[in-house]
Amino acid sequence: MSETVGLELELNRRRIRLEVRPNETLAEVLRVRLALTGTKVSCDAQVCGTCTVLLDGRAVSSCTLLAADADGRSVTSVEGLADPESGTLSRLQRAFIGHAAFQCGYCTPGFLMSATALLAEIPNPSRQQVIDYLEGNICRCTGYEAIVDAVLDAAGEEAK
Amino acid sequence: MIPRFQLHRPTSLDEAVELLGELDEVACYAGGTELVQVMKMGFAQARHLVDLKRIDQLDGITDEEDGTMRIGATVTHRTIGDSQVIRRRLPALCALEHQIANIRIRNVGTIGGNLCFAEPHSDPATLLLACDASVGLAGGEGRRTLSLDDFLLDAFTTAREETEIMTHVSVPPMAAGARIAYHRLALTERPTVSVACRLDHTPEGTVEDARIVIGSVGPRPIACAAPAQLRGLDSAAVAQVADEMSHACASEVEPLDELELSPAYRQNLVAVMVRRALGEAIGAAT
Repeated sequence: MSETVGLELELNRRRIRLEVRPNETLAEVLRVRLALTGTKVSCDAQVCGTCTVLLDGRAVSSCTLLAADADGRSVTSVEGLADPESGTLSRLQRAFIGHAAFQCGYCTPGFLMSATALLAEIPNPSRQQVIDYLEGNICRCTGYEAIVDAVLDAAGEEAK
Repeated sequence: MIPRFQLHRPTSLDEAVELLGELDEVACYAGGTELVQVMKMGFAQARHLVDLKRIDQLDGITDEEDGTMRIGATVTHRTIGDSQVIRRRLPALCALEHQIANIRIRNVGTIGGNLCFAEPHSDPATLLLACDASVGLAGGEGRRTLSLDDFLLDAFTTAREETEIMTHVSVPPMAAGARIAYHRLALTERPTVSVACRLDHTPEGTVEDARIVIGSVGPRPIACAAPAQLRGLDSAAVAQVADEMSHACASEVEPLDELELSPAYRQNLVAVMVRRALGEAIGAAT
């Protein structure tokens, strides 16, 4: 058995192939090998949600997911939210700006990814559903209100 | 950084069992939410990891003719929570699975990994113990089935041999008059105290059998002896003794001193959670 694993995956809507060591996490591969530093690592223990990316559309902690487990699957990081042609930010990203839903911004990519998964799953969530879904994302600056407002705003736009 | 290891991705159970027999310092994983985490922290080492996610026989939820539910070991918490089969047979398990840790862990973590890791604060272990669940194991010597009670030995310790793989969890059909409630208090990602209560009722509405299992306070979930006294009582009578029963159950556990919560405080929390779970179980029956 070789020391590396060949991966073929869809990353931010582009098919890529790369070789990784089995002990590399998805966060390490994104940040170090691919220079996609939008994904942040904070607690490194699947608690804070800062490193959230989407795996086949579902939120996962990239800090503890082996990169090898992304083989054959689709991965979306925060860099994949904007329109790839025009660079226009997603509705959710614009709502975060509109509501000033961040202060230091470190947790923001994780919140954007979790909320993107939420809106794909529940397009028109109640305030409580947003709170429940984002329970596993921690923000030490905002007090969460503006974040929840932004998500609900983006959902409202989506529903129009 | 996780220390280096080699990754193996068998596609059949036989192949996986063979790998476990051949390799030294080998561990199985599926979601990795437990194993990868402890390897990263240096609490576990392995030179070989066997990924079980490509083995179809370990996946899927089936509803057998006699009413037994078979949940594959690599089924995620998320899939269990969303399962229509389980919602019909054991809705308390769906509700519990939707509460585990956070959405990311639920999307990736598996029932088999949870039970094999035997973390003392496991949510599913507590409820499944109250439901008389059993687990299937496959190894070089063949297959065997163990009750969950016999499987869970101690904190982070199970009866699984190192060369065995958990194949599935079986949950027998619940009696027609069964009322099941699960209550937890979670101050962190894992519960501080969790209580599963199952009251089986006769057609006349009296308690035929009663189980109260306390999780998260000891090295493994504990089935209390006191609830046997509830047999023969109707819901009104159970309500009358609920307070007394909650203290009797709490006195049967010896909480570990952890999370900066004193054992006495956690014992008190146990009584509160037992009272709530019992209240829900009789409320649902009336």
